[in-house]
Amino acid sequence: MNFRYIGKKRRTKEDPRFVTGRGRFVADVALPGMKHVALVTSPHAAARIKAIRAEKALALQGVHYVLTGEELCAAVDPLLIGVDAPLVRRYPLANGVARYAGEWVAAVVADSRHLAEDAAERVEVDYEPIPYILDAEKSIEPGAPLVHPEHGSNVLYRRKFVWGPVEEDFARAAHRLSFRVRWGRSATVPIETFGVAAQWDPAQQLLDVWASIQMPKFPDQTARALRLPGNAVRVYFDVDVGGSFGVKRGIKHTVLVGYLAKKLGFPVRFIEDRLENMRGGDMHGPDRIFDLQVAFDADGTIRSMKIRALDDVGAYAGRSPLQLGKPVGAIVGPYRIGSVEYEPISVLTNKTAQEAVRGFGQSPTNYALESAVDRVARHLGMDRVAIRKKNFIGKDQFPYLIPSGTTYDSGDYHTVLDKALAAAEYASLVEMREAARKAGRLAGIGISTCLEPSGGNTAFEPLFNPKNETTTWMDSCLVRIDLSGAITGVMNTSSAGQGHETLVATVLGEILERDPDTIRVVHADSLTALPSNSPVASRMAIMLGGAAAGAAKRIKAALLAIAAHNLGVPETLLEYREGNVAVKGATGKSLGWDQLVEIAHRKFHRMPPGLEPGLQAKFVWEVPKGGALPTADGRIQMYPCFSLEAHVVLVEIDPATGQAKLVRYACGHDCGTMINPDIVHGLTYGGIAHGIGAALYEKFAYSDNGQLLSQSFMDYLIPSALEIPSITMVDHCTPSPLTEFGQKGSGEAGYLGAPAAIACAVNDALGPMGASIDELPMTPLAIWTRIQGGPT
Amino acid sequence: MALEVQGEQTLQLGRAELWRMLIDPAVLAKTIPGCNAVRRIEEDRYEMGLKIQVANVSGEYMGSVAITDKREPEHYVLTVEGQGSIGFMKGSAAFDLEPKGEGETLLRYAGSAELGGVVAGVGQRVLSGVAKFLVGRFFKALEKCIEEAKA
Repeated sequence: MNFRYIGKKRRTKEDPRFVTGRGRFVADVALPGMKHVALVTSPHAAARIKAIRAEKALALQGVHYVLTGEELCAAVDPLLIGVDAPLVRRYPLANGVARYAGEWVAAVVADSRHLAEDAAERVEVDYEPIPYILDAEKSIEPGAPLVHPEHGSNVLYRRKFVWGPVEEDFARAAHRLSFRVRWGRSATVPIETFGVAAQWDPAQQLLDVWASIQMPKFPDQTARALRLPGNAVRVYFDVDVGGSFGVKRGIKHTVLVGYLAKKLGFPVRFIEDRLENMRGGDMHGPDRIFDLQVAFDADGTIRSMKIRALDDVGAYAGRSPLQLGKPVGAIVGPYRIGSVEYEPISVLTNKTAQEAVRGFGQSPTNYALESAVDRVARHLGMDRVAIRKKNFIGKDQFPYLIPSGTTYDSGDYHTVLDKALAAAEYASLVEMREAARKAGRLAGIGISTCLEPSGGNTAFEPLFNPKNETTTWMDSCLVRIDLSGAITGVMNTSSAGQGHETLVATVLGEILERDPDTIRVVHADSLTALPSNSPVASRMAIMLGGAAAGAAKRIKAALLAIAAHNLGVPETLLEYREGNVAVKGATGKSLGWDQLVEIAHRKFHRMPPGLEPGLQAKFVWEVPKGGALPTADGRIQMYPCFSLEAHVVLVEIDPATGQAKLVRYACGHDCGTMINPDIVHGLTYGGIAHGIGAALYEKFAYSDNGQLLSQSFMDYLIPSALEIPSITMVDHCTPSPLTEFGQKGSGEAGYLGAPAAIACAVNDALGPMGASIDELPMTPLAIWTRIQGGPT
Repeated sequence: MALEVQGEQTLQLGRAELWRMLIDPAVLAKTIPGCNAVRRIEEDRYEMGLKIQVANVSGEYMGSVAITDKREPEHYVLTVEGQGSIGFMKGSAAFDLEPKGEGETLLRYAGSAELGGVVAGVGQRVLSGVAKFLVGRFFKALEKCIEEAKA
């Protein structure tokens, strides 16, 4: 397709604001008379709260209130949970029992954050430690201490799906392999921790909320928990978010602060410090044990898989169990695998609660799938590129229905992998590896080819909870042309750095043929907003882009109708160009943008009948191919669009330290039509950096007594600029047939394939010494231990 | 998380005198690092306040110290339990006193402590260093007490 603005290298609309330090984050929200919160947290893995004495804290001048769980839990409703487990109750503060080290027990409100922290140290809590469980496998054994005894079990969700003739395929296959891999507990750790400010207006009976969020149905959930009507909570979506990548859910923070603001009558703000964020911010990601069985033929054809995924969600659940659900929609990766058995098990332990992390469970699953492909190749002595190409869905086979009921929209996986191999200069990469090995060094090549499901239908909700019949995950856009002819696009959710203002302006500019630089994009607040489901699930290019295109087309249609009426010709004889409408041919008859706009705004007598005055249009878009409930055997169209990323990486390992160095990194990427290539590439760079962290460094480690050992960046290692190699990125475009411009999602790009590729490379490096690692992160210590001949 | 300490130190005092000193609550108050109050609960059991700083975390513990398994003058176990703003700690150490030369005693110690809360996670890699530092402060204070007793 030939585009005017889409896909062109254009400066983003957000850059000037951020580069010049003019972003407005929650820490910039200063309300008159605002007070500040610090938390009292439990030091125990599990403990009954016997007494809380706040006198010494309240004795400090400037300390206003100490809120306990007892008071709060009586006044608010439990937070929503994604699966059918109503007795796993979760409140912002512990309710009689604290279930992990770091759980919030009381909140102190004071004139300043410093004072609140000092006062929090003076709150005395009597704890009675009780038995706890940390091991996810042991937690589902009989007799294990129960995290929520009322629930009766530590299993939150468990189901065995069988899609297709799994047993027959296993019986027919020439070879079978079974193995276990483990994805460690990591997350995203944005520069900005979670923060929220709230103010209650008793005259209007209205709670105003400014928060650093990326959370579907956030205003609704806040209102429900606070027992307020939805229109008594107004969330400002124009607050900039200093990084999220999934984790900025913040519902417990907001209910806590909203309650305090309403109760105390002054504005209250809470911004987590790093320790509060890491221990009790409920932002840890998936923590998964995969047991895989794979059945395949001698020529490398993979016939079937059995996957058991045991996920440790910690002590409470919001949407976290659903992170086992999304991968159902890409459960065979880019491969033609005829049947699959999938048994997701979501379990409770006495650890910090899990939340959504970039990819919503897909990256761990991709790591498991790619591990399976590599093992099959190793078993058969096949080349890792050849086995992938052997099993790829061919570009002529789309739309392609996978066993679990999702149809992939489009793709050309062979070409994307070839492009990545070419970008990595694969032949020279192999030579470099061999040269390093000859010189006595450890070196390995990793390859991964992974899918990024995008467009965010929420089909895992009804799949994992039959009581939840959600079948739409719509998004919306409102476009206004004012009397001056200027265009304003209104989006209806917040952004966490994904460049949505650029997206909307580019799409509106493309359809209306007006310069995107002249288009303003604003964020509605939740009371003026059209329906939106927030920028999760790599969905905004598709959904907000689609909604903006739909609204712009309605504007264009109105302009054409006005022109036809005033020029006295049918619309079919008209030509729209850059906002002006002319009669086709050299007639000289035309109406300019300004004239058309003026008619719409002032001259009702010149408006065609039936058209409303002014010039505005809204468009609410349902997710393409959405709208259905799962079948009885759990088949469903999970997401509509599928991007592919192929990673090729050369790793060298220092045998003395176990440090893995990424010597060369190439990524081939196909997310259909790119609306702004710089944004796509930026997201992908960040995603790869994040993936390097998950593969080699980041882990929320717990001690045997349930203490989080990596609470700060001294122990929770994130890759710095020194650990991120120069990355060669190469694009390919297979347009999606389901979207306006052929775009697919790319918000999670890079992260969905990097850990798999790096793990593959480390194991290729360790291969010659007969060692391998089946667990992420592959820390220097883990690698060094294996080099020394230590156990897996 | 568990923290192990182990070592030995030669002290310039006869075994019997050192024994008396080690179980003396007044000496305990002066030698336990950060200890700011000792109140007797019963024989060999005291309530105490402890102010401690580990890495960038500082705070106070309220807790108890107990002396058990006494075999005068050669062996005893010191158990310390505390809870406070920065978490909890629970530890015990066995002390063995061996006569060395004239007016000289070798004190061997071995123990472990469990920590919870903020302090457990802040710089776990520095904790063993901190433990060594605290043990060092203990002996420095003890030597000062010995000198004062001799003076």
